[in-house]
Amino acid sequence: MEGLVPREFRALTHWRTLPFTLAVTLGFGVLVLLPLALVMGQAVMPGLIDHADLTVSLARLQTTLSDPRSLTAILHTIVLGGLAAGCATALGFAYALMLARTDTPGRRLLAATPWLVFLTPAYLKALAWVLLMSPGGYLQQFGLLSDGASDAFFGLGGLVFVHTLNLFPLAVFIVGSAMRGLGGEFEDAARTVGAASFGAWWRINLPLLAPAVALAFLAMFAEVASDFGLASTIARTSDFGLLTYAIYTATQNYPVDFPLAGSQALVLLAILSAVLLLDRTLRRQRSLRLITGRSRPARIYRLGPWRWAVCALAALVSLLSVGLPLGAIVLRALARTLSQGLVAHNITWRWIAQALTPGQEANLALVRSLGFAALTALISGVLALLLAWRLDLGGRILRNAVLAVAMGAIAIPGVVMGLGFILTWDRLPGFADTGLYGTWPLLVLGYVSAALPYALVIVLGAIGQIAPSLHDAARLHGAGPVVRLARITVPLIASSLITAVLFVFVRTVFELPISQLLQPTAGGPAPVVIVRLFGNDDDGIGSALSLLAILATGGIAGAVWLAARGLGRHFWRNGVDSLGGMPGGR
Amino acid sequence: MTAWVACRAVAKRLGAKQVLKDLDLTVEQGEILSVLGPSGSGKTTLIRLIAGLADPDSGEIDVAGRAVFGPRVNVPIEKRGVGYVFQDYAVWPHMTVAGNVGFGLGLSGLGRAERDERVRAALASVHIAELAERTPDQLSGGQQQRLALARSLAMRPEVLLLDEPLSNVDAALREHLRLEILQLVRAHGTTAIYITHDQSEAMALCDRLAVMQGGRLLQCGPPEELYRRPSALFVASFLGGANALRGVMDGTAVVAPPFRLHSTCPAPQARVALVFRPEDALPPEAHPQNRMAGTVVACMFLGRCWRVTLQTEGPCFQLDWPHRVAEATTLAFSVAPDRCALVTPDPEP
Repeated sequence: MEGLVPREFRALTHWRTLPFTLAVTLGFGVLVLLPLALVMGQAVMPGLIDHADLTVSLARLQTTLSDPRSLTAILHTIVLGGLAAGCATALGFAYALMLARTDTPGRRLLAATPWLVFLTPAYLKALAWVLLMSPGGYLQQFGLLSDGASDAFFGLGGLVFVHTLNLFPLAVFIVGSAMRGLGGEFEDAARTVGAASFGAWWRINLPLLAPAVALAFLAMFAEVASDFGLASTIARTSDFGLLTYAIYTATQNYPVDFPLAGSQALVLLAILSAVLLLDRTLRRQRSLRLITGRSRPARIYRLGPWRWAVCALAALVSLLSVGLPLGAIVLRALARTLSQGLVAHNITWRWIAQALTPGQEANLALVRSLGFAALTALISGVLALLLAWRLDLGGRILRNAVLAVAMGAIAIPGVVMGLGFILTWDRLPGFADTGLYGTWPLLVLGYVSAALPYALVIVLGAIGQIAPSLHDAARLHGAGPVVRLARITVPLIASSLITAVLFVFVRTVFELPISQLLQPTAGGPAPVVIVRLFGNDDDGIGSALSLLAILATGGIAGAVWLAARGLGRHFWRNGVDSLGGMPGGR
Repeated sequence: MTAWVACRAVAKRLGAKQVLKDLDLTVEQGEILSVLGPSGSGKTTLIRLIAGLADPDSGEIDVAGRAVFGPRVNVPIEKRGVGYVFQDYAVWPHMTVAGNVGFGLGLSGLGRAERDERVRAALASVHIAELAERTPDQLSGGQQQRLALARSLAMRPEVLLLDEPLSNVDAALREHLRLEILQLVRAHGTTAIYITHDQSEAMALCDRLAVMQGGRLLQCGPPEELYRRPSALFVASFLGGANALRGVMDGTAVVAPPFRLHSTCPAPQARVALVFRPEDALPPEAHPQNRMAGTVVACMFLGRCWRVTLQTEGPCFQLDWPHRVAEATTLAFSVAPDRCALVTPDPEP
């Protein structure tokens, strides 16, 4: 009878997809899991890579923990993390409060600041602050800064200052969303039983917001601890040792000391795991669930004449966090020298022209970075889609497990991932023989491994939103797995997929730690060249390259987004029909 | 007539829960079967197994008279000839109305002209032909459900499975759509299995009614038979407002202190539950051998009668009474012996 398929054959059709499943899983394993396993493994098994010796020895870890330089780096990382996260939480809380609960004029404009800050890479802002704060820098030229203040900047104070301005958007997002969910009814209830306005805030709203504040603090602590941008710029200039930079130097300075880097990475991962664990514990607290989405609109506080003062303060924060750093980069890109300052004869197009001239180092670096980033974005997008699709077919346990690994991988600092890649492709027999180490394909692979978890989380999230019945309905109408992917899944998650690809693109153009660790011998990508140019006091061409990178990335991402949206609209209405030759007038 | 859809000893476990237990069920060609049961009774799982969206752990399933699942066979979903209307409609939001209906027809390799014609006819049959170029987000809930129905019917399925298709539609529209579905399925001569937890919907729509509980089929037959002659207390109470007395058989009488009542029903076993409907309450002199009395606790106006809540020395009863009775007064009534059904008191575990 036609249509009768023996059951054994059904099993075979399952086997047919097995190679694909294996390939995707293997790819994820090689790109993310293997490098991580090697970093952690060789820290406690010193002979793991060179002699395939699985003997566990904590000796190297103990040496690292008793080495004064390592200890200082650990201590610095924790102190800086705590202080910067504390300051950024306070600033972010105040900023979120201003945006969500006050009648401060210009709130719409001020709401853009956190996003702008969030989207500009930390090391660019750090380099810009060096231009602003260094002796003879812009702020001294404008008479805004004394020599003493300049000295104080290069140390813990300056690091806390720049980190605070760089990270406060995270607190604005986390605390702000809690504030939007926190209805006015709690406060109103307190007022009806006699609490004054301030008392209601102190006794009711603040405790309700406390979990969100704590989550923001933890997230920012983790960000500071895994940061490489400031660690390799301001902290390096100030000789303020931090773990991430210590890991990097252990792999770069002669003699190369991988076990040291590995044990430092293990300490860093331990610190981050503790933070992650605290975060999970906090998320399970009941108090968070009190804040529901179904609350009454909250009261807006009328600040009266004070609202102008608050507006001025918020504008100052915007100026310091975005305006000044970007302004400094633009000024420097257009200035012959830093010391001659803002005078007409100091203005030049030389640096921009140089960065635009094909064949020049800066131009090569920019073109390389844009190309690598585009490639990374495409590969990550396709891999994330295939992986997410496979996982979605595979049942909930596998899906949740991979999602958990991906979320964990996001917390892994780029410098640790880079170290894992060096261990895999430079040292591990079989992988090292490929000769990929020191070539651009490996750098792209490194970028992909760092970006894949982000892309996967975005795509899995979108696929999870699709009602299972939409797939079931397609199966009932005769659509096989590939048809379902192409004609149901992809069109439905198209906007998330494009978001993921663009996010990876922007992130990769400015990615510093993996660029540093895996830079191809043929020539480095833009982030490496930018940091090196600033380090060699070639900050004019460095600024020009930064400025062009920002403009090019923003322009490309914006253009792709607009094109995709236009195309999407057309596709949404007609394309699906025309693809399948469906009936209906056009 | 031969069985068009047949399930034999079908069992399915989901995680730790045995969702279906050795279930047997047949549907004849052109018949509409309603499957009624509370949530978690396994009714959706049953039609998912028939459709092939999940595989049974054991048992056999036939569709259109041929085996689609068994020890040596498992026909793929798309070759079973099954249509499925989902509770949440599952219309693809990125395709137009016509695109939704034409999707499966295109995959089945139909020529353009025939496909267009089938789409047009399907949309016309559910009265949404003029909406062909709209996207689902521009349709109301009722229109989306019509589209889901048209999409399934356009494929000319051997059997149409409907999974609570009206549970997301508002009450006013539900009655209207119910009639429309019935007429449409009848007009197409389609065999259909209709899943619902709403007893009035189940009884209105079907030729035969199956009641499920805890993964078992308790009773299956014409709706009036299940209403009048339920086989289990659960069936009686699930089909609306049954009064029940647990007791023991003594000859032809049921002894349920303080009452001794007569029934013309054969007793399934010695321990039984006697069941009667609120509308079967008559004045006490009508059937003196089945006389009961109690105190009126509440009296509510229902339009065609008054619903009296009566507390007896035994259980509490709901009675439909022709006139208002003051609360706290005593009321006597009787029930005809042929209106007293005898059922097993509890479903077997």
